Amino acid sequence: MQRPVPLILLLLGLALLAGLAGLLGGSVPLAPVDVLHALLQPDGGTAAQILWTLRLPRVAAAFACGALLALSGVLLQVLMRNPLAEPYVLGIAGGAALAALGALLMGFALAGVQLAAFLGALCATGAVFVLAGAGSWNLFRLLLTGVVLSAGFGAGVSLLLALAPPTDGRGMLFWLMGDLGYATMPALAWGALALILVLTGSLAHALDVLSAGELQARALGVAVRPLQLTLFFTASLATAVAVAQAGPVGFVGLIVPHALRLAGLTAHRWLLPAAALAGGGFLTFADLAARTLAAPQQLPVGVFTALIGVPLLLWLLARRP
Amino acid sequence: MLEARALTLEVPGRRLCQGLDVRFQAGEMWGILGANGAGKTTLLHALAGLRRPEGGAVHLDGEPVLDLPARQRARRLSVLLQDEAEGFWGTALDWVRLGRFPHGRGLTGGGEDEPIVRAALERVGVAHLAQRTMATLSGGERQRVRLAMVLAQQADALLLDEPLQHLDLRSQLALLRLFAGEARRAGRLVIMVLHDVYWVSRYCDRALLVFGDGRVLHGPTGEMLQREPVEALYGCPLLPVEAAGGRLFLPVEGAP
Repeated sequence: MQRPVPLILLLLGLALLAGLAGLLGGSVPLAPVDVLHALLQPDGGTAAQILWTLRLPRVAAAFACGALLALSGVLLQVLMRNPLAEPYVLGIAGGAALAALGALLMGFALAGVQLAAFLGALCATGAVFVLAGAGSWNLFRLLLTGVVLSAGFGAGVSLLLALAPPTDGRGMLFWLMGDLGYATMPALAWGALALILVLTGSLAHALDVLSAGELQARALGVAVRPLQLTLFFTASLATAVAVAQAGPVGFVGLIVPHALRLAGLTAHRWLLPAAALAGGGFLTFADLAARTLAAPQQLPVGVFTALIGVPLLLWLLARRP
Repeated sequence: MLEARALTLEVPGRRLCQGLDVRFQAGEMWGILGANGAGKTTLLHALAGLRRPEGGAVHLDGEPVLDLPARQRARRLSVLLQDEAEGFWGTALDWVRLGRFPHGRGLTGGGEDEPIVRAALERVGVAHLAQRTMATLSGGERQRVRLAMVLAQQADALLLDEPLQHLDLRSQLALLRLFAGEARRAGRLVIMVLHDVYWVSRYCDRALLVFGDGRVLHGPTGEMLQREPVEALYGCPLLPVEAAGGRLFLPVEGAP
């Protein structure tokens, strides 16, 4: 990559644009002037209420979750040295979904369901870690363990959905496709995002070396196993936080790192911040589409990330020989 | 500078070497020869501190190589691995920059490291490929880029696993001359795993023969590359021929 800075600035501009559009658009469109007024001088009017209690938290959560998923994708693709690795490959989404669904059916409130999703994601991470050999794994075994556990969790989810009363099932189906309608804690996601960006930013060079292969990285002086464990748990944390807020939104963690690499960003000190910006902007934009296209009905955002992501990825792949 | 002391290496079901003592001195060119699967790469990895031996130890400048901090080891000893560039997303330039990782903040693409990286690409004749992604290079081009990374590492010991693979004859000669220069003029230690006995006879001071059944012979190249040990090494009858400053071993037809 010759000039990563213009691309990063472009992504920053697009992310800001997506955020602004997310604040303006919705079932009740707001004028830019009203948004500016409500942001600078909250006066308790309708516009200010919509903005501060609904739009701003949701846009903030969408951006942070998208950024977390994209970062998780980058980290797992380096860890697995497999371009098809994505945030859910280690069974994290399955664990979160099963736990969240269980909590919902047991009658927990929203916060309880989100906590269950987070704990479910961490339990799935722990299970994969232990079953794959507690750190003495080879990557193939780690990947297979994740895939097998995912399948198991998927069966559990289907079973619960089949047994659940039909009224509970519909909202849950939306959440399973990814839905930011329940995202209420953007501060938590932003905190996780900042933490993970700082941590992985300091590891950027080691990640470059690791992407050249495990043995090569050792030959060049990287402490490979500690780095792999860091990647494993960091990516899991990022995914768990995002899934607890937004449900298992698909495609962000797969397509964003791919698109950026195909655009020529391969050095991780550029790829990581770029992935955060692009992932955040992408999910914010997709969420805007989900909120407005069939307003007042809200559609699951995962449908839109797939609808945008699939053709984009196919186009990018077709462009390169 | 590099020393194997009572080194024992085993793979499941087989002992590759037992109680091996070798001293590799600065300024020497070594050739490691052996049949496929005899354990040449395993030995090289053990010497490089990438593999814990089943017995004995490898010392780098008097210190156990496995006890050295990894980056410090990589500043003093560089390794060319076989085929490790698969699945790398970056360009040739990105790959060679990795060689500066042991030296600290060297992957920033600027500063004092960049001339070293460019010079390394230049030396192996692939400066024009710098912006190509590794995946689009031919086998020989990629091999040269991989060698450029080893040079960019600027270590005093170069451990090269089949450095000439995928290279045409002219490139093989050019690179052997380059390595010989590293050993003789820059005083570096060069250890190469090779399959071509002729190149070893022509360019290496010392040869190390790995038989794969636990036996290892090493010594001055002229003494090592005799008909009997080389025939035993490859398990086939050979005819030694002196030519062009080296010794060729031609396979003899008809024998078992």
